[in-house]
Amino acid sequence: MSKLKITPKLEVSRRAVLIVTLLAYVASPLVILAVLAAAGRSPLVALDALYRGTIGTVPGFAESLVQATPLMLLAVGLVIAFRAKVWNIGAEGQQIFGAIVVTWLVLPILKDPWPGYLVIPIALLLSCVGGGLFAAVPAIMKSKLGINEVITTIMMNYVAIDALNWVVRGPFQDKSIPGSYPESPVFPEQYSLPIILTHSSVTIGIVISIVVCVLMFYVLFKTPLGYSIRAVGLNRSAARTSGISVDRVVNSAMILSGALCGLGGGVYILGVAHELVPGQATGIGYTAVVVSLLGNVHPLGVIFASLFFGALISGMSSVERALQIPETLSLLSQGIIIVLILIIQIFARYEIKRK
Amino acid sequence: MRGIVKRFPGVLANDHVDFDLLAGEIHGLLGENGAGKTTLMNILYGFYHADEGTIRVFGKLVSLRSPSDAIKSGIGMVHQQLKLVSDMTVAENVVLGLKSSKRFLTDLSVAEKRIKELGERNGLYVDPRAQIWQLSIGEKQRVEILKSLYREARILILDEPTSVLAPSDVKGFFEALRKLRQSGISIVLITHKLDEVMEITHQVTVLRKGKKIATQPTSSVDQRKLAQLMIGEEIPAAAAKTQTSAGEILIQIQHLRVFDDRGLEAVRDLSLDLRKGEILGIAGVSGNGQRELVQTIIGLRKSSSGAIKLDGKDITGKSPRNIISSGVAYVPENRNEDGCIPDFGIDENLILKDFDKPPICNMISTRIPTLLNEKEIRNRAKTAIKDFGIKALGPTSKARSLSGGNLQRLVLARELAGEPRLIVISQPTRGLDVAATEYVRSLLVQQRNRGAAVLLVDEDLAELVSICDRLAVMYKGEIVGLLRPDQFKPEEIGLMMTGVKKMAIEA
Repeated sequence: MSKLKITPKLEVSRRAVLIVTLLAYVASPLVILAVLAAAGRSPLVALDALYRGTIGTVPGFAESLVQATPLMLLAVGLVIAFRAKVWNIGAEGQQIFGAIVVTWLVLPILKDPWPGYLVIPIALLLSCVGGGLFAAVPAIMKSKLGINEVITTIMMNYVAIDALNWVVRGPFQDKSIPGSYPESPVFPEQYSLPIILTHSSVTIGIVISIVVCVLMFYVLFKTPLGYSIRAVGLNRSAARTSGISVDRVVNSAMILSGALCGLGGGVYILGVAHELVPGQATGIGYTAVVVSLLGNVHPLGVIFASLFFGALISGMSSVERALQIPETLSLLSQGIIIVLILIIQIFARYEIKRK
Repeated sequence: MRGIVKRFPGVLANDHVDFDLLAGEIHGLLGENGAGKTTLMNILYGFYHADEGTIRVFGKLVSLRSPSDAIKSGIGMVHQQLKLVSDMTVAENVVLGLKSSKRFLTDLSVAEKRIKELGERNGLYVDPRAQIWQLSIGEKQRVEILKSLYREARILILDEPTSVLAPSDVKGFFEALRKLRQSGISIVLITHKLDEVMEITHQVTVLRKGKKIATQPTSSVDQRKLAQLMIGEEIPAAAAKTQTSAGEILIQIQHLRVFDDRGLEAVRDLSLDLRKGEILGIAGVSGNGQRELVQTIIGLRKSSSGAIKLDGKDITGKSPRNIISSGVAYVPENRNEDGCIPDFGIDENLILKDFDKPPICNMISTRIPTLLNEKEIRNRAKTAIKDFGIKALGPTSKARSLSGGNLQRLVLARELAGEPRLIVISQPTRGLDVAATEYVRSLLVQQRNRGAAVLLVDEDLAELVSICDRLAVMYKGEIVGLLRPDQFKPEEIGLMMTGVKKMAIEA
């Protein structure tokens, strides 16, 4: 029996990466169907539901975009950090903090609302600041004290979740209804992101997300900041030797990363939730790690990976409803798809030969 | 080995190469960088798989799919970059990957005994209980050889073993090789040092551009002939050194003390002046504080006391960025680790030092950077490729795809841009072929003639003697000799490098 040998390619062609990734995306519905067939469900019904939940119907399509929106911002934020080899696992905490800051801004101006065109930009900007500040803590702990950022960013997630649970039961709680739920008052309508697709909840958030991704592509590949981030990520020692201040780059990457994650939280609360609830902690920050990897840690790749993932979430919930299957089964197939795509991507970067 | 062909993307590394190693001989494998020596031997070691060709070991046709196959066939290899775990002991490194006699527990006492025995028998003694990081590079190399011997290798492939050794250690090392040969081990010595080939090998095979040029008994050739076979043309003449008188003092090092990573004092009360328009060589066995001295000058390491003055201005403790912008260039010895970013293209590597300054970076007014000027970056890469003779597919080729000589050209292209006042350069030609070596030396002389001060840290005595205007010998963190060209006597320098002799230095 001949064994297989996997060696990294010297030059990775961009086209190969693209083709392989697209193939993986196209093949993934087959996986879902196979899993469902194995579980004794009709693949045909599933296929139909999947189609309707993604690109087949307006609501399905809309839901895909809605799901993709904050995910895209978080994932592109992580790309910035990952490119500097700073492992920001704190997207969850940063987006929560972004949302908390937005709520802090909006609460005093609930009764006599200011115009939306004024509040929304300020709120989004503040969500960036919030996320960035929240990420600055682990950044400084890393650069000044050498504490591993994986640990601190994860711990900061718990800080954010606890802070969220406290504010929705304390200072931000809606006291107008006696015995009320742990949630903030609902935001006035003019503070919601404008809807861009009629009869749906698709907001301008998706446009913002795509624009930010394109912008980050430019930042990463066309500006001195992006250059230094990539240089530090690829070879810290050479970067230091040639006079780049590694600490400063690490801090910048982390704070920019956190700012984008914070923006994701802001877009979510203004576009989807319209109030601060404990459910702001959706775990999306962890999904974003996967999405940034699926997008080849590339700002433009992340656009497609997020849209794909949004469609997957929306499509699978449609399948769940159609087939009356438990959520675990759909999560299972999502997991298999992720692993599969990551494996398939190896083909673009490595040569596989018979020995 | 018969008809070995190995293709890499865009390169034919081995083109129908035949290679015979006789039992009990030391066989020199000679060739320039990128001639395919290492590739050929990596195929023999099972690290690569040949696209065509057959290999017989001791007459038996073998298929070597991995190093473990090669080891089973009695082949061992010591790579140029040593592959040891630095936090483990010698014995632990040697037995790494082997089955233990005690199933799940490691049994080191037996191994330690055998390592000691093997080392003593072959003149390769290393303390089996020493941690790798405590060892000198020469000792580490011995550990690598012991690893192969421990696995009962009958064929030993050594990839440029002397490139990391001090001249004084080479002798002992060759002695060990002779002992190994006497005990029946066949040795392939990959090298591009002609004198070594002449000194120790029985046969020599010359490769050029992936093809075998000749295999001959060493006794039938001389250095000149070998050089011709290797390069295919006459050796370029040594760089013309015009006699210029050195100018005023550019850099002044005063009573400098520096600690190394282990907290030991690596530079002890060192004082040194360097003038404009001179090449000052620092000779010494590596590990005598040269690295720490250089890092301190560049700003990568803090001194504990003393001062470094550049043109009268104190630069002690300034950041690398600061020091670079005051006109200091640095060519580090580890080109892949400190000198370049392997996954960046040539173009991106060339802007590493000024990517945030015009003309590479566009600015709003004079402070706010905007976008990188891609046209400028591309032009610079094209110019550098042409001016410095970098052989590459194009300006965006990754640095990792360049051979050692071309990579050094790339680093020099970056560092020599902008006419630096001081050039600090470590082991500039280590691992380079003859043509690249000559080129690098001539560049340094050119820079000196232009009026730059060059601080050349080197272990290659011949190189130091051929291009330096003055030579400082470093031993245990101190300057033990400061020589003018008429005092350049290799034996003398050798004695100083090993701490046998010390010169009184006038302050």
